[in-house]
Amino acid sequence: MSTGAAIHVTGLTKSYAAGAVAVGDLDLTVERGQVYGFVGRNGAGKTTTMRMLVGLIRPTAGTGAVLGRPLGDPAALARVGSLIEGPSFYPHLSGRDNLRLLARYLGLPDTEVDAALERVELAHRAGDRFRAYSLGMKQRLGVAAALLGDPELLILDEPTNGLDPAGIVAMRELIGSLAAADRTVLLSSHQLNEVEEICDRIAVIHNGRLIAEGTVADIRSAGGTGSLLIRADPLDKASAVVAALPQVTSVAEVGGALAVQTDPANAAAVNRALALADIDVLELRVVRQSLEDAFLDITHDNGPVPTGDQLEAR
Amino acid sequence: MIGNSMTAELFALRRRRAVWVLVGFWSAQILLFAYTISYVIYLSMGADFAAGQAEALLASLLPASVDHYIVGSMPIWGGPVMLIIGGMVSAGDYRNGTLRTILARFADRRALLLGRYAAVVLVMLIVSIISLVVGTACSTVVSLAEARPLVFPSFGQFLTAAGALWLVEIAWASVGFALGIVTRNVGATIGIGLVWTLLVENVLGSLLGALDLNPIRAVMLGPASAAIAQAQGGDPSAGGGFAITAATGPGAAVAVLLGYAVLSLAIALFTFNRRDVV
Ligand SMILES: Nc1ncnc2c1ncn2[C@@H]1O[C@H](COP(=O)(O)OP(=O)(O)OP(=O)(O)O)[C@@H](O)[C@H]1O
Ligand SMILES: [Mg+2]
Repeated sequence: MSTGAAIHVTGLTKSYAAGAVAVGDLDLTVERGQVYGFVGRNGAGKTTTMRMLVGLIRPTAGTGAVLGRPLGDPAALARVGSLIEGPSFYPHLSGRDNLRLLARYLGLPDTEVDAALERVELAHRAGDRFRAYSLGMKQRLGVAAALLGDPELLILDEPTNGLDPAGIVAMRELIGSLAAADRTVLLSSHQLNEVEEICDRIAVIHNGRLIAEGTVADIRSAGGTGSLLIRADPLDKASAVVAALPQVTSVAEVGGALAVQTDPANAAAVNRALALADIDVLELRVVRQSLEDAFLDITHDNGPVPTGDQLEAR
Repeated sequence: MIGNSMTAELFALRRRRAVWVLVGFWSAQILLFAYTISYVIYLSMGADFAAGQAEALLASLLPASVDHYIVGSMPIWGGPVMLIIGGMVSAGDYRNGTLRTILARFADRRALLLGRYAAVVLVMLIVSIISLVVGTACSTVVSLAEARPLVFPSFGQFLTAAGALWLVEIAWASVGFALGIVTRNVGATIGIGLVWTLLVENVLGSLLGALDLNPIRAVMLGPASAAIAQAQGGDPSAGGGFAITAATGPGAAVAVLLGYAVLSLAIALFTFNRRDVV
């Protein structure tokens, strides 16, 4: 195993013929052993980045290394399992034969195929043709293909897509076991609660650019401070008192309670102000900002999914 | 690496029915056009034909002629089939996105393509042998029906015929292989291949032949393939598959056929290496 980061890219850029920039000037480092989340709205550039990492498409600019070797290096990519933009297999071949074919390319014995099928719980249907698989079974086969030969690095583009609840839990456990076995995982997902749970670090990509990077806690707070939920009597008076405090950004009445935008650290000060104003505080609690809230916060100001024209203008 | 790719492609080809249907189709053409129809024509040749002409046709259908007779059938009947097989191998992976599944892991594109090409070359060798076996069987039946003595070509002649068939098939399949990479679509490859065979090789070819423009015909696939057949003793006037005549000697024809193979492979490699795969 070579040393250094599992993935390290600088200035990675991909623009298409029309001038549209799918990924622009991306810097990204994924250390070995990390489970790294890659999040961003539709069209943000996640899949494009992953394609460049596995050499399917060539960057317009920028350099990088995967497992210590330049982008597209065959020796490195033989140790990278990936599932990018959905599972793609020969429809007329069985799941097992599809994997056996891949094993031939990699020079792996068929026993590896069976092991991979077991890991995604598809062994019992491995003899069926791929075309007869359900969405989730196709997805499982895609993950099995990525796992073939126990690669050092896994690049998974929306791996839980189409999986049933049990499948999603199994996927979480699988990724956990990969991390425990010192494998590196880069995964993209729109399931932010999932990402929050399994990833060590996260990169938020928006319109092809990296706009936030860090641990889950970092990203959560990057979206803004959390909020306080307050139940008090009388409520309208409480609202006026809290709104007058300098530390408070905004106050809104939601279902008989106050939602107060402020740093949760100000909870005591808010409580004191209410007590001094002779208001009964029935409940006061900190509402943690979820990753989802932070994500919406960081990415919302740029409006809806960008149009082609907007992309070209970048 | 090339070995892995070839092994994998052969694994896939074994399970690819369309390829074997095409090989069967070619065998059926030998049975139907090269032998059955020709034999029926011979039987219907009445007294108004010169005795020599009928005898020449029959001679080409007998086992002693099987080596060059099959080679002679290849240019017009077999070529397009081999072209399609080549295209199916190279373009087939674009349809279901399987190319990205493979390339993401097996990123040596040159090795991937060379391995697949090697698989095609191997399939062509198999086709050559099948062709000779089918031809030998058919000619044996004709011989028995006509109560002629069974005389077969020597082993050396069979080997030469297999080699000649192989070369001609490789040339055609290589063109299909390159077309498949360039168009990334099996249907388009078949379309272009058939139009080309029909218009360029057949129509334009016979036009150029009539105008005596042999230097141009010399670098065409059909005439070059025919030259190989004639060099082995094939007789263009015997009917059967010999609609295309040679324009050069066998040496130049071998060079032309190898040229097609090398040039096609170079185009395929160049194109495949440059393009993004999505
Ligand atoms: N082959 C292509 N030609 C032109 N533009 C492309 C091409 N592939 C992708 N794009 C553009 O690049 C941008 C990024 O696409 P990409 O598929 O990387 O997004 P994504 O983050 O994976 O989105 P999603 O969450 O929907 O999967 C999009 O605007 C897309 O339209
Ligand atoms: Mg995507």
